[in-house]
Amino acid sequence: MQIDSDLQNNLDTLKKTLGQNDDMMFYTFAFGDSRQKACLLYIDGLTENKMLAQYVISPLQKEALAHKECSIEDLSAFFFGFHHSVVSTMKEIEQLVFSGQAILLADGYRGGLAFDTKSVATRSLDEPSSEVVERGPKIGFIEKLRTNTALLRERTSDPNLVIKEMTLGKRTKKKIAVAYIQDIAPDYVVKEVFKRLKSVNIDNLPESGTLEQLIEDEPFSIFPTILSTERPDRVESSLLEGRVSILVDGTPFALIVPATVDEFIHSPDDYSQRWIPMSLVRLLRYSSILITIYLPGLYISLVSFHTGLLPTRMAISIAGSRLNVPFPPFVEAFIMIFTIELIREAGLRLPKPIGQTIGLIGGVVIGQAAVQAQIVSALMVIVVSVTALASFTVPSYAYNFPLRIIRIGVMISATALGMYGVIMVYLFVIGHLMRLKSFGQDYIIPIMAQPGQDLKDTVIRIPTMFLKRRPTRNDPEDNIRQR
Amino acid sequence: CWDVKDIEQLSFARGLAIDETNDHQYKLTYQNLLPQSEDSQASGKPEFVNVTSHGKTILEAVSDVSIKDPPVYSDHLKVILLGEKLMRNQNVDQVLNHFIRDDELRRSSYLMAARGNAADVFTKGNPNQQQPMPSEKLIDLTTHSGYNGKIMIPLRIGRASVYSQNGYSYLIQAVKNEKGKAKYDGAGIIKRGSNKLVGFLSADETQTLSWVMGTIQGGVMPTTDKGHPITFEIKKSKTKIKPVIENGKPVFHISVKTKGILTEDQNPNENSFSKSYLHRLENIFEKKLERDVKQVMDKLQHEYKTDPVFLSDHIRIQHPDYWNKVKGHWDEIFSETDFKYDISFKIINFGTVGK
Repeated sequence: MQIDSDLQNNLDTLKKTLGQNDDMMFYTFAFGDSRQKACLLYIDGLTENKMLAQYVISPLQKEALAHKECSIEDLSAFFFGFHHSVVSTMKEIEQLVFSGQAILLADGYRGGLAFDTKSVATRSLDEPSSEVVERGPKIGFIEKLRTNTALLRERTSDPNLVIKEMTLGKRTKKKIAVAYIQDIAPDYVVKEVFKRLKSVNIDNLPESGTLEQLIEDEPFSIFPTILSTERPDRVESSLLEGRVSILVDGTPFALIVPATVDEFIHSPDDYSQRWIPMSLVRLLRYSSILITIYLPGLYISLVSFHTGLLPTRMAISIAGSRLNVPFPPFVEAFIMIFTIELIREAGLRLPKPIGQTIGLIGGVVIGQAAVQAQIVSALMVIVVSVTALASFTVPSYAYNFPLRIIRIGVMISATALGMYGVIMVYLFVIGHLMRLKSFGQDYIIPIMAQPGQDLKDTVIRIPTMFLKRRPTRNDPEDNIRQR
Repeated sequence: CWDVKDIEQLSFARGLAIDETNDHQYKLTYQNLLPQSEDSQASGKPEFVNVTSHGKTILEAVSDVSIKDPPVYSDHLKVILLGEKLMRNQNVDQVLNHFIRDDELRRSSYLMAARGNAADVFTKGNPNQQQPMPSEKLIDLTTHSGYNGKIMIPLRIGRASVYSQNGYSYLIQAVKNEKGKAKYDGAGIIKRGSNKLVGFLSADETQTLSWVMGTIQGGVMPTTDKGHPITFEIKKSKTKIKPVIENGKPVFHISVKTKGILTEDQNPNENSFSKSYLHRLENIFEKKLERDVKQVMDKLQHEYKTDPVFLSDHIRIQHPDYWNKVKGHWDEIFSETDFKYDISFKIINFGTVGK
């Protein structure tokens, strides 16, 4: 329905559809010589009232305007320098007013003007809480998309950085931004990203996690194939490696595609610290992944199948500690793993100060008490604690889940088949990883890479001066990082 | 699931003594470690227990354990001790047959010979006495060969089987019970062919043999100089054995070069700073070792008439044609061979005493 030149008519129509909202404001005022009537429509709280008064109402009232039938475009000259656009239909008004714009309708003018006066409650830039680094920028994304894209632009002044925006969510119209560097990111990946984004047909995107699940390659795998991060520096370095980042309005978590298995294990300060210590730290992290997956299963298989592989003294002390435990090793391990998971989940939900107390109670009291009550053996408590501790060294929280699930699988097959079962699970997981793809790229490729290529930045990180080329796995169009 | 052996239900055999009883049965004495929980230490539970079992065959005796005690689990069985009577009467290789075939026991387990009854060496556990378990002790002692030359390179059952199968005589670490304590004492000689024990060498003879054969890793040699005790400590010893065939008879040229320390010299007039003094002492040691080795060799050649130190290998490698002719009756040839020794000592250090 077109906007009429009769203001009262327009308002009547609009009030029928929008008037039921109490936060919908219809501010009527007069301007010009002939005291023409005008009305501002806006949502209270979503728009900045000061801006409206300063940049919309007062310029209009200062001008001596003769009443004449003319188009709304003529009015637009008064608001030079202030972002606005022309609207001509009622439908447009409805959409824009709810996305935070203020609409100016004036008597005698066909059409209206929409002013971008949106002001959203935001928090200040803060250190990202889920990805803490020892050395590196202490700034994270926030919930406002515009700020996030500005953060990216600020870090990367490369003119080839492309930020393309689109809206997703049929009802909620969430803005998302796709960022990539034009001459590095390969075309087919960018195209694939847009193709998948366009296929999303959902009413609402509450968080980038929802989007992640809609566009990921393997929704039925336990492994995440899209990396999410709160850190602009991480997005920046990913862009420079030829990846594509997707930012969603309303969440500080940006998505990075394609993701490979090692990305989840690496942390930005692997690059900001010196290479020898960080290579050792990476070795530690990789081995802690093996520990967190296999330790309870190995313990079970050693204790119930392959006692000959243990050093004699250790076998005797394990046998001694298990002497009065009524359960088989698997039940024993399962009780403890279950308890650890309980503590972890409870600690996450509880308010912060109580969360720490729960950790203490869980760790010390339950462990100690379980040993004294001879429900579990002392060594099992150590095994499970080390396992839980090792799982926390993985920088990505999303990557924690597959490890914990595989751990249970290893435990079960170790109980049934011993070391043979452990190796079976290992092969199964490797086979599964080999099959996974992320946006057309092999998920496990860096681990399987030829030496001298991407392997130099996986389990160890060679000195920065030798990292001359971008990782080949992303197939970058410009692969020279430094000469 | 069918392989599940829960660790707390196993009895960990650490040592096994095999004897022959008077009614020609096998008597097995397993020495099992007992798991210690916190409260069992307080109640004075012994650390180990001996389990005996009899049988007409080894395996019968082994399986008879399970009708009265927890079944034996021998992944951790590290030492097998054979009784003197058993070894004199039976083929050692045949006795070990079961343990070689069985995949649970490791081929790296040690084989030792007991002087007297093997079971006597495995004294019983006593909760009030903090004594180490005898079988554990025997295992630990093998690592002391750097301190004492009387300890041989340990013989593993896999090796023993290989030697028996290939027709070698070999030495086997001998052990005895001395006033309730297990102790290394010389070596037993297993003669090729029959694979039976023919006799024992004393501890000193064992040291001399392994010294001259170049397998010694350390040890001391005491002697006297004008009535004053002096001791030489071996640091490093090298042996070269060169067999020469003379008139159809092998002659072994054995040169031993030993470097070591003069660690004890009770001569009040000693003068370690003087080269000629040290040289004189070196000569004394050289003479002593040569005398000793001649004695041992004489014993091997004429008393036991067998070569347990693998001299035949040198013939086989360096004179293969000759070896082909004599390999059937090597023991007879060995008893008639000549030895030429070239023994040289070098005192490289005399500590912080001198004049």
